Amino acid sequence: MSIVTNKMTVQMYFKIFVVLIILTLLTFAQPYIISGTISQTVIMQLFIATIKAVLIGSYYMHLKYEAPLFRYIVLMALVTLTIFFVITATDAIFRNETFDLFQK
Amino acid sequence: MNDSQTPEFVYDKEGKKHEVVDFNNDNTGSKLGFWLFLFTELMLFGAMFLVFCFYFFRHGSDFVHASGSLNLILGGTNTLILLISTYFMGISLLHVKENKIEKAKKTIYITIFLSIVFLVIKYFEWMAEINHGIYPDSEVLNALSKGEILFFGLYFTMTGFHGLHIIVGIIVMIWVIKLLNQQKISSEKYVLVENLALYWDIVHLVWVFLFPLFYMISFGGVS
Repeated sequence: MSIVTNKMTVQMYFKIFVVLIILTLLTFAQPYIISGTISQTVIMQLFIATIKAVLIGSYYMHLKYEAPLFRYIVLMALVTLTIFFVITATDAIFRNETFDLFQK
Repeated sequence: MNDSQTPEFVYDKEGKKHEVVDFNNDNTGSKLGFWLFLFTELMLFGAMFLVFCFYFFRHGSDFVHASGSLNLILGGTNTLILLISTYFMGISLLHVKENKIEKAKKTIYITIFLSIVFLVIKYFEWMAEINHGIYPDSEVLNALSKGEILFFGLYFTMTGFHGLHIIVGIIVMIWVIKLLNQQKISSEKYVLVENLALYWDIVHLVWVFLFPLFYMISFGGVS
C-alpha cells in the first residue's frame, strides 16, 4: 500500500487539475466551437463529462493506484447502473410502438 | 483489543503463522466500506439522472427552452469553484500522509471556504428563480408546459440534493479539522481524510454531469 501511494504527488494532482480546467473551459466553449442540434450538443457535452469523470475516478479517487478489487467493484456498480439506463431507454424509445410478431 | 480474546492466526505464502493483533487500522476495509456507501450515492443520483434522461427524451424542446432561463454564469462559476475545491481536498490528503498537519488543515479550510462560496452562489441562483415565481407547485410554474414543470422540478430536486451533500461535506470537514487538532489523525492513520476526499470527489462527479445536462443543453437549438 505504501509503495503505490508514493505515486500520488502534488505534481500529479496539479497536472490533472490543469487538464480538468481545460476540459471545463471546453464544456463552456463547445456551443461556440461546434453548434449542433439538441442530441449533438448532449452527446458532445456528455463526452467531455465522461472524460472528466474517468480522470477524476482514476487519479483523484486513486483507482489507478488501488488494488484490482476496487476497480472491479466500481466497474460492476457502473455496469449495474448502465443496465438500468438501457432498460429505461428501451421503454422511452419503444413505449408507444406496438410490436405484434404474429401479425403480417 | 482485549487481550483475553482467543488469538486469531493468518498464514503467509510460506505457511508461516502470524497472530492477528489488531483489526483497527484496516485501511483497505475502511475504504471498501466507504466505496460501498459511495455506490448507494451513485444509485441515488443515478436514478435521478435516469428520470431526467427519460423526460428529456420525451420533452426535448421544453427542456431546452427551460434550460435557457438558468443563469449560466453563476452555474459556470460554481463548476470551477467545485473543481478547485476538489483539488485542495486532494492536496490536504497528501499533506496528512506527509504528516504536514498544519498545511493539511489550511487546505481543508480553503475547501470549506470554497464550498460555502458554492452554497452562497447556489442560494442566489435559486432565489433568482424563486423571485421569478418559479418554485415547485407555484402558479407561474404550473402554468408552463409539462416539460418545463418537469425540468424545474428536477432542477430543484437534484441541485437541492447536491447542495445537501455539500452541507454534509462541510460538517465532516469541520469534524476532520477537530480530529486533526486532537491529533487523532496522523500520517499513520489517515483513512478518514482519504474517505472524505473520495466523498468530495463523488460530489464533484455528480456536478460534472449535472452542469451540462441542466445548463448547457440550452445551446442545443430546436431539433
